[in-house]
Amino acid sequence: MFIGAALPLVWLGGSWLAGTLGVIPEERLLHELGRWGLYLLLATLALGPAFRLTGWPGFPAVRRAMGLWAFTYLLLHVLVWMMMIQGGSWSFMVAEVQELRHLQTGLLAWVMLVPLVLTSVNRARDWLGRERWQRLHRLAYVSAAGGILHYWMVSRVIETELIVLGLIFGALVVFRLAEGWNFSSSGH
Amino acid sequence: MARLTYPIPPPSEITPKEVHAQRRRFLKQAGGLLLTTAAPLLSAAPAWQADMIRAPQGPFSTDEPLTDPAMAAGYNNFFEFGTGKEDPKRHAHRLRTHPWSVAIGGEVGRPGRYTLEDILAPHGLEERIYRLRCVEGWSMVIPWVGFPLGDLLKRFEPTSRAKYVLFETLHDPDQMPGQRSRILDWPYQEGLRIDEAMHPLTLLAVGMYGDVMPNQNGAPLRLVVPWKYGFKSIKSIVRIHLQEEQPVSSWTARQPAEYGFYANVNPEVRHPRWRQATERRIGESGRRRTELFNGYGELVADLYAGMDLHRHF
Ligand code: HEM
Repeated sequence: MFIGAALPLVWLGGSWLAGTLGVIPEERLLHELGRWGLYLLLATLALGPAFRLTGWPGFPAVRRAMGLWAFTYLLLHVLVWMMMIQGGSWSFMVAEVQELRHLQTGLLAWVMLVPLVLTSVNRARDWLGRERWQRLHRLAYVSAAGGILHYWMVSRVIETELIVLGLIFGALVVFRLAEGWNFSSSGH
Repeated sequence: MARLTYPIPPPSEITPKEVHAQRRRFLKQAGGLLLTTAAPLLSAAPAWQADMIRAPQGPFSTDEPLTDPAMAAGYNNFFEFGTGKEDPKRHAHRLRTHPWSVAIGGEVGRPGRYTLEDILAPHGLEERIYRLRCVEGWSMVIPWVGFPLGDLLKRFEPTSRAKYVLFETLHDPDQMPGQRSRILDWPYQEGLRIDEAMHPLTLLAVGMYGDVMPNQNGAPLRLVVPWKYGFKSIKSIVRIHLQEEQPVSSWTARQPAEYGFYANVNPEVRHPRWRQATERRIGESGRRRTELFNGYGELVADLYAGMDLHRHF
């Protein structure tokens, strides 16, 4: 899991250093980080159903780590946007976020992940209580929905990939609803 | 106007490398006189391509630094070859630009289908260094080689009912694999009002950086309208149709709220996807302010006198 999640990052870092990310490397970096962040976020959500279907305890065991990897990519996505695309200029950043809906959507989706990261340690879960912790962590679904919406809004045309991601997310939600909101995530 | 020097880009796709080098050497020695007769003997490439090397500097050129030709030919929007910025460069070799013909019709005295050679024959090519501003918030400075569109239109004798000009790109999914997905209604169409089309700034270009137009930049014949967002400057043109009704551009058909018919560069008119107040000049870091009409206001603002540019965006 570790290797799988780190590989795109290693590849991106290596390509960056080697200068093989194309004409405008920071733009490519931004897009790849956003896409891999979203893939990992959806993969994290898929671990629950994968466990229910197979019973293999390996799936829930990596959930926390995978969620943190997803956040890492999206944190880098935001940092690349701030420092490389907007040149670290607050006035540019503020003006862009004020004007553009897709950035507001992305920001909202991203901010929702922050409490999940902060409460990802065992101590926080014990402190919140399992029930409340689980309810809080359903925000991951809202964040993923926001992420897909954000992707849709930045797309100039509807690409197949977007439709596939939307369908995967839809299937995850349906599975979750069918299972009931209260099924427990054993092993976490 | 200062003569600019720039790295010579790779030889065109059309002319094999050796022939190209040979032709360049030959041209240096033989000069212009022999050119038109000798060039066809040396390669299959049409003679007009050789004229580019000595195209004189035309009016309206900017003296801003040129965009690196590798970037200008490597970072493109040409959805006929894919939606990624580097897809066109990767796939455009499939486009066959020779032979090429253009159907000129509608409200003109001499409609018909003309070969590219016929179209170019009476026009002297010149170099024009223009800014190019994409609606996505980036810009380049490109030395085009071409001639004023107005000169061509006059030759075909527009009637008094010719109020607009419609342009159409080649439609052939075998050569343009991007056309297999229905992301836009193919063929790509664009349009200009007749006075915009006749404006001396408006070019038909057949080359850039002193060489034949790379396929991914719209070979063999493309429009260049420097005061409008780049998507108006339609590529690989096969049809020019003069008409009374305002044409509907492909992007307008796809997203009427985002892409208007005029698409004049305007930092004040908001676009939901990209902030238009600033732009990134490719090759520079940071962003610069975008200018009304892409800085060509002195030349073109009169065309829109009295019009509400927010409504007619
Ligand atoms: C959960 C949060 C987020 C997710 C899942 C996400 C995901 C994505 C994805 C998948 C793309 C498209 C990549 C592609 O075209 O290949 C993208 C593009 C982009 N994202 Fe995000 N993103 C998030 C948050 C943000 C935030 C907070 C910002 C900045 C404030 C941001 C700025 C951008 C920009 C500027 C683009 C490119 C738009 C363009 O090219 O026109 N994203 N993001």
